[in-house]
Amino acid sequence: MNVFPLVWSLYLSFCSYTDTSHRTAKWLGTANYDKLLGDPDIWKNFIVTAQFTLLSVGAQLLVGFGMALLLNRTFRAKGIITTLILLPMMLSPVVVGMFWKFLLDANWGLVNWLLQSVFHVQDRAHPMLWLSDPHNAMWSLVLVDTWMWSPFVMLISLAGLNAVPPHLYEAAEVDRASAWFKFRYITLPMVSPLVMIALLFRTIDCFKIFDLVYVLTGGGPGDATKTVSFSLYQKAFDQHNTGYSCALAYMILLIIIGLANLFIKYLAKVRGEGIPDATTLSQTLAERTQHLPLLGWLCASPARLLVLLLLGAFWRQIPGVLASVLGHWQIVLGIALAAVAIRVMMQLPTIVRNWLAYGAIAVATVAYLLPIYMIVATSFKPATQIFSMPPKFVPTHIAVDREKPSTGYDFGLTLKNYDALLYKRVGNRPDAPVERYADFPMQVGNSLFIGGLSTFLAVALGTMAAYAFARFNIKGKGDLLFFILSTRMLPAIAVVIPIYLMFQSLHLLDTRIGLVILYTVFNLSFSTYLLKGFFDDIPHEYDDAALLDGYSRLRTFWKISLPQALTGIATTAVFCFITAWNEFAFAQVLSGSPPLTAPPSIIGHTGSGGTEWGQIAAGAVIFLIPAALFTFVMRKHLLRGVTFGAIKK
Amino acid sequence: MATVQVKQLLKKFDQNIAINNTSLDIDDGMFMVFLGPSGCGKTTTLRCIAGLEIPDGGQILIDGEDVTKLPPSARDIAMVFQQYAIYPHMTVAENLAFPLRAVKTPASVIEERVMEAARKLHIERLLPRKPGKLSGGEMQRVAIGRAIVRRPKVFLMDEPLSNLDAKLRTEMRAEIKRLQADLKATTIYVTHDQLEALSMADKIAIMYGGFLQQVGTPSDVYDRPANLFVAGFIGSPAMNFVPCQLQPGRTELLLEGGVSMPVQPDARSRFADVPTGTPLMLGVRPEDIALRRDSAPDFVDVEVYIVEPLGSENIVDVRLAGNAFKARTLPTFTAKIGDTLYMRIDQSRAHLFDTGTTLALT
Repeated sequence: MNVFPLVWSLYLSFCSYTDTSHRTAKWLGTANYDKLLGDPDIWKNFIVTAQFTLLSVGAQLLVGFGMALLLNRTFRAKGIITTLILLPMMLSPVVVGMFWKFLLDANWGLVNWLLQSVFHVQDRAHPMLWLSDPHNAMWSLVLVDTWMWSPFVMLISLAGLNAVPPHLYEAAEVDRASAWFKFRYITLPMVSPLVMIALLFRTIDCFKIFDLVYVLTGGGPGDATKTVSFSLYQKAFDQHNTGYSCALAYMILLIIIGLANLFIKYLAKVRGEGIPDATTLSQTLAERTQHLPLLGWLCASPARLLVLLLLGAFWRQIPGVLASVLGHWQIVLGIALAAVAIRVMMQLPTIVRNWLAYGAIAVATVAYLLPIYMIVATSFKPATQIFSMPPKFVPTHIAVDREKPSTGYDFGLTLKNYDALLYKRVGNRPDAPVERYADFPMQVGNSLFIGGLSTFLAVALGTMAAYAFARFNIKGKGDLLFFILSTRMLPAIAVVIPIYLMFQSLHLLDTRIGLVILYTVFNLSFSTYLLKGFFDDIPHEYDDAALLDGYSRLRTFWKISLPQALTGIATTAVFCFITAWNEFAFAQVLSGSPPLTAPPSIIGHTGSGGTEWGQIAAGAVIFLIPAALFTFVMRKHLLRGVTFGAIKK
Repeated sequence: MATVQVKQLLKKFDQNIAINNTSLDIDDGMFMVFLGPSGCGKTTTLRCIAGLEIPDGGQILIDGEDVTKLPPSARDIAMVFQQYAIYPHMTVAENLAFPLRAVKTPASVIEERVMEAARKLHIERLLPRKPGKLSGGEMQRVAIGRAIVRRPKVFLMDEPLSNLDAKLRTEMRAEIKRLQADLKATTIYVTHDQLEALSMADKIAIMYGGFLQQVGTPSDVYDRPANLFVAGFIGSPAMNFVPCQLQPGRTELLLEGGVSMPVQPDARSRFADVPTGTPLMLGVRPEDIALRRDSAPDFVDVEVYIVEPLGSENIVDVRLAGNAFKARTLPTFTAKIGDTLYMRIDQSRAHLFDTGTTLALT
């Protein structure tokens, strides 16, 4: 199930084929690839993707690492604030994208209102066109991606900061080192390997970005934000140019696999035994410098050569990308400012520093909670108050019929949005009797069913596989793990084409069972890998003792290992469920209209009056509740889950 | 170099008292060892002197100057940590240079001092290496080297040898002592290993449960333990203890189990001030017990429980009316389990303790 679609699409990539006709595929040889490499539009898409990746990953590094530094001190409510900031990355990108689209609206968005009326940096007559100006659209994407994923970098950086043994700082303190000296010569070098891991993760994710583009900008305006994944989607499912898009998918796959391989190699080095302690870290660093003779480094792995070849192919584009990124003087300035800020902060006495940090933490918390609060508030607002300026923050009363827009910050509470989402009423009039349930409850039910069943299957199968991986010496174990991880890192859009074709011929399109199978397979690799880590943590002496006491292997597994791995299994299940629950690309492509699950449905609420933001907000709130709940329950295990079990705490 | 004074030091962690009213004087150039079991407050005392912990009461003076409120960096001290605290991402040379670079020393001075320290510790060839590949002993040398490049007023060492294997520990012990003698540096050394303390210290401060038990030279604490704790903690095998009473007239010692021992003539003056009729504890070191095969005056008969041959000596474990005694004998002295032997306690070197106050009475 993991391999077959890939082989098929490899074949198709050499053919002329479109999924709407019933003609069999015609062999074309390398024609698709020839066309691809000569297509200036594709090159442009790659440049856009590279731009986005560089900007976004850079911003996430600054923001994420900065927040980690701020949070790396003890204060009250630290746990709850950290968890709140971590919330966005557990949410579905399409839903996040959708409500940012709302917040970024030029005329009635919260962001512009803040800039105009609170900070007075924008002229009301010329609002910033966040999404419809070609130059700004990219920045909007970067902004939303950064908001969503900086917490990820923060989480990993925090783990790194915690892993620095405190006696190193004590030794430096006795040796009269200043705060800046300690930061520069101890903190930075010791944390950087883990931060590198976070950045590699983010690079791979940014490279395949699709969901956010789909909802925020639709690739526009013009081609300004058309990333390769999005372009691929259009070619495959709008233009039905299947063979050609398979070829493009393969190019993306190669790049991702190259990146993933680099990443896994690096991970294996840093990992050592779980969290890197001082010695393994130093070994890693020592090994890294030994590789410095470039040739040895290159020959060490074919994957590196591959990446280099790709770089070679893109050679002519690199100056362009760099120029366009560095051309944004704001970035250079931002990095310089951040560095100066840290340097200056270090000179201040500890008390002043702490108070500044608390201030910054407060600002970050507001930045993270305000958008979420706005969406919750919007879901309870009557239609007349959703778009009125200034934005309404405070619910003061129960809304009446035909509520007038207020001039203050208050709004009336109403459940109309939820009602419209749940029930279909006669003639679509809000006060008419209920005709039947609307589609949405069904879709949420489907999401629950599909997510639940696929999670159960993936975890059940994964547990057994993981036990085998952890306890037996299986040939090619390492390769298999690599394979598992790299399939997980593939962009959904690139593998969805052959799966679509497969489902078409198996009549699984738009069926629940189809998605269950798909998500099970998709999650199985992840659950196996994560669970293996948990089983590895249980000393095998327990098993040995049970086996010596006359238990069979099966009973040992059932009575000894399984009970000890329960926390791990629960953690894995939650992450599998959230993945399936949030999944958008497959669900969008593989289900019809109305869509089968909730994510594609939430973004599609357009009625007679344009986009029904009230209903979208209500849908988003209902949809976000499970993810938010699980984030709180699982906060201790978040790190392990989001890094595929790569980093343990 | 400098003197260190600790005055009425008090340190609490939450409600637990880690150090209780401890006062100590450490002379210029002295090798002072803090000795005690884990949790006794020795490391906390050291960390207070270093400035890594802020005391809840009392004062710390270095060279007469009150440094109680100063940060570690203002105290001109160097510290060797139990976990070495070698920066893993720097070479040995960079590690040695770290404390000098932290205070912006000219490069030429750094170079010279690093080389000097490396020569003293025989680690010149390790200078370009990263710590990841060093052995425990080498790491330890680097950690000490990082302290001596500083030329600080006081060296603090927190169990520096506890992570090394037994053989290396014996070697390093001698080397650190020699280094200290060469540098004539005031040194405070924390350990739980009494052998380290006895072999290295000019003076030993023995701590237990947050209280200072005794301060003295190695022979002071070995030969004249101030209380039951010190007596039991110092020496291996440990001192033998038997509950007893001094009979009125001070001519007879009644051991638990009903055995009566006449007080030997040369011990009479020792026991002169010991109260009679109260519960006491008799303490005898294994080397102060004589064993022989045939009976003799002053000797009582005992049964052999077990024999532990140690090569250079034999430890013979005997029973006297239910009381266990370990005796140190020549390696040529052999006995079998169940044999009957004759034992004499050298009372002139034995100790009597008050069971209630645990203080030494002799």
